[in-house]
Amino acid sequence: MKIWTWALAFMIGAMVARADLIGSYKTIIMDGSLSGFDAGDLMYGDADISDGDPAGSTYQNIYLANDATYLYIGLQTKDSGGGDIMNAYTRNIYMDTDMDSGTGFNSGWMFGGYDNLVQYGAGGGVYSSYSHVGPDRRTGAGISRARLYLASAAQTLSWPFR
Amino acid sequence: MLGVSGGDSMRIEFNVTGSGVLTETWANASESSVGTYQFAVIPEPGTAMLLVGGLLALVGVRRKLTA
Repeated sequence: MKIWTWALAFMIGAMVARADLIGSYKTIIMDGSLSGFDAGDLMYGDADISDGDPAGSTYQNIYLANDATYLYIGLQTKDSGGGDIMNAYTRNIYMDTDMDSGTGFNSGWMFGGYDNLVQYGAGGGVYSSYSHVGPDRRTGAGISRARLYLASAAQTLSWPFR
Repeated sequence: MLGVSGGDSMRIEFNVTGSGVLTETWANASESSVGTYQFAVIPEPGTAMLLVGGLLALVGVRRKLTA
């Protein structure tokens, strides 16, 4: 193969956006367990996650799937009781839904342009979701509430995405 | 509402902060390596399903003609 052919193949490959996880179409039963997810739904494994302290605040695995209406998020935590919403931790989920780092939340040190934030925890005192749109990337307005079903070592969230 | 549809992609990052947290958890560990999730689309009926449906329709037509 000639050099220009290799270069063309490389350019085409670079232009094709590839997802790290292509979602599985499934409806997860919201029972506080992770039984509806399987290995093919793994978004982040232990090697992708920086461990926190204490261990209960750390994720072991994170799973994603969706059906026509909901995005399902399975959070498997380390240690015992890590998933209990009554512990003091605040859990934040940032989503860049327009794949544009130029729009969305930017605190000055996060640069992903996250358009949506789900935030919950703090002993049950925080339970909010925010949408960040437009050029002002430091303000947001509450948009809706996620449904949370919690167990002691795992959490499952569903989120309307349409 | 996230304003996306099946086949769309998004980047998603997880973080744990708050009281009692001495070291924050990040997933992905590096923001520059945040993963992309592509929303699944509604599955279409498979070829076998379409074939079976077609055969059943043919059987129905034949029964009507012979009745």
